[in-house]
Amino acid sequence: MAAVAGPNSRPGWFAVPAPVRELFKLFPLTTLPADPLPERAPERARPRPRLYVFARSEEEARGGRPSFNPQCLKWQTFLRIAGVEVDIIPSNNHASPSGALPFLLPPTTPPSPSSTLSTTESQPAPAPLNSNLKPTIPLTGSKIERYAKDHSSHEIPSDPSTSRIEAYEALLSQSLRPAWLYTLYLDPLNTTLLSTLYLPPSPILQLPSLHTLRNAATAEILKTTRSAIISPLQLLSDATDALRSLSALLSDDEWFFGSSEPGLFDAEVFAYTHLILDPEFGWADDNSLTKCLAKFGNLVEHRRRLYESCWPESQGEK
Amino acid sequence: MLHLHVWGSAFGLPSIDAECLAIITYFHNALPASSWRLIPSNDPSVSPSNLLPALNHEGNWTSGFQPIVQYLASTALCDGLDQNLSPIQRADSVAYSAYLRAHAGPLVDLSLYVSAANWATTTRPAYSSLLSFPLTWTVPTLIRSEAIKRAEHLGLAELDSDFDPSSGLHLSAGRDALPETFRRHIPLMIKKTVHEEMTPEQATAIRLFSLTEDCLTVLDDLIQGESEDHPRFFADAPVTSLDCLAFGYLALMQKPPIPRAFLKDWLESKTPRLHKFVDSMLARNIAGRGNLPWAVPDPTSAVRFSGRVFDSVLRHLPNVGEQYASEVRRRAEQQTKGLDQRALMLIVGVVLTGLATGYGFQTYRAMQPFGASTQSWQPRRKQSRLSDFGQLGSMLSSAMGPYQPVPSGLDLGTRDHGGPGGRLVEVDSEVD
Repeated sequence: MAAVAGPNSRPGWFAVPAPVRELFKLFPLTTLPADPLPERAPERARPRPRLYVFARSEEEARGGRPSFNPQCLKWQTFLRIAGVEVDIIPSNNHASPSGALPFLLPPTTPPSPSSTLSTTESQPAPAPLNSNLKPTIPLTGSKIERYAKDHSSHEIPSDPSTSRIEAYEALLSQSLRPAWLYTLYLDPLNTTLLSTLYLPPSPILQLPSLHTLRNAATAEILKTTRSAIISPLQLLSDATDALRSLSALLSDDEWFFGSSEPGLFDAEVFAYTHLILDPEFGWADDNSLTKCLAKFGNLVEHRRRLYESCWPESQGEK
Repeated sequence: MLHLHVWGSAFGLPSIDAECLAIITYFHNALPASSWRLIPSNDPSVSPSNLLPALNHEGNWTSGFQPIVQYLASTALCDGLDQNLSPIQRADSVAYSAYLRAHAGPLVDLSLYVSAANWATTTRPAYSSLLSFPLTWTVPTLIRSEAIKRAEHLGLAELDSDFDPSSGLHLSAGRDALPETFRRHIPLMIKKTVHEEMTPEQATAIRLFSLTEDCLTVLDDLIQGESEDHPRFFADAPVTSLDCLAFGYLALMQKPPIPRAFLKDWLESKTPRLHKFVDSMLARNIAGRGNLPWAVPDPTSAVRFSGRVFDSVLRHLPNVGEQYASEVRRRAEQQTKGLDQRALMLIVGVVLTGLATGYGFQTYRAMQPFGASTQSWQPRRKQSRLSDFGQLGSMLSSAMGPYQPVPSGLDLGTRDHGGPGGRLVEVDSEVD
């Protein structure tokens, strides 16, 4: 049997027929050069860490102005308190790996300048054992805090009593945040403000986006307050209670919990108080939350103090 | 007279709901029993804001723990329990109340509602004993789905999927009963991995315990260093609103007889002070202050009851239910009663859509099946009928029996269109 099958008899059952093989050899017809990355994609080499936040415009972001989103402003302020220099990049939720801003991209090179990276594209430079040579992992939430503490120019005092801080953080998220959400997202007086801050400029997209935003805000408020309906008066009275408690907690101290330096909790309170009190924020004239906060003098002072120490460059303007 | 509407009692506690439990404790300690009535109405819709606990004070409705406490203070109906606290203690009380709602609430939701085993054996029967018949099918599941939504951010949804492979219908269960010839064809699937053997609570134990630890340690830190036998959150006050609220949540962690009692185990072993706090509150501030002024709720009318059944059924419908719920919420927020323009538009819209759908459905039903030919009969016109000839003709016609047209066109082979007899018209019905 084997002798019958000569060397140039038909090949095995699974061999590709010659014409098909010839056809397949034609491909790929041409190989195009790789496309450049989109213009706003993060550059390969970042000398400074980048913080992606909500910002009104490119100029504001470049100047490091405070973000208009409390969550972003909290981390922006904390990085400023820690003395970590960051580039602020305006962005939106779709850019974030976790689905929510802010996130921080650490610098690609260690702060000491080295030019090894430009020569080797694919092969990373012979790395010194430094943690910030993991350039592609964006940091969110408490990882930003750790990063800020590791790279701080001065020692940040660790929190004195964590359990009380947790309780007061719950107060912010449970009582102040629903009032903030209602005032900005649901109050019809602030619709124009909301559309300049969060909505796309195209009028076709604006209406559906507004609906989505409002539904999300409603769901969030209902979930945190555990109530069946949204009552603006009740939200405001809860927020007033929360502010009164914060005011009592701060009393005559310079920073919260009697520490000598501002900490993360100060940044968190500042994120709300600054935006509520900021005259340039664009609130509708009759903003009850602003009025309510203005009654607590020490919180207003706290906000001014932190603003002046973190944004010293803004002093010249006023 | 103050009328306090709450969810009724369960698990040996005055109420099944944490905030109701808290407000009952508050009232029991702040007010004499003669000045208020406790009504287990079990129906959130008694109050305009659709939430229990609800206080009815001469027609003024207030709902929720914090608002009721504020209402009592603002109307000076009683000495508030927080009167003797210093400003910083008050601040702490507000902050820890928020903490309880934010962290202890989802834990209770997890243990009583999300965990399928606990829900099936304990919580659902408790609700069934509170509600009357058709509502027991609809309302508890609605309450549960809300609780699941509230605890969603903890990422422990797998507690819900409580399928126990070692019981019930499983391929390996009836193996021995099968004859040998069949048994060979069933794959041997007795070996289970360790993960499959575990209950969902055991599989997620690490996350579950870390959540519990985070929450209860914070509370335990505040209650530290107080009286040994009867710990309270603030040493110089016998009982405060924070004590009441914490009791509401902690008692629901500790008292219900649930099969997967991870919260209770933690309270007993790791934070005995909180455990003692619950027992002491129950003994001193609930049982020790006499009987609760229970009152029988007003009997609900048949119309109202069927309305509630209909409402809960509507909420179960997919898509429609959510729209309905948000519409009801809107009306409650704007306090619209009766028919306004929006409601009218909605009703008209729903009716029109329903009519259009019904008409479309009927038309569809009336159509022939695809491709089938339509046969229609036309009576012969050529032959005159007897009834055409007036009264005499009709008399003759009835005497000769009813006239039957002969379906002579049935022989399909011969298509003599002009010929006598019925004419077969073929029409292809098309349905797109």
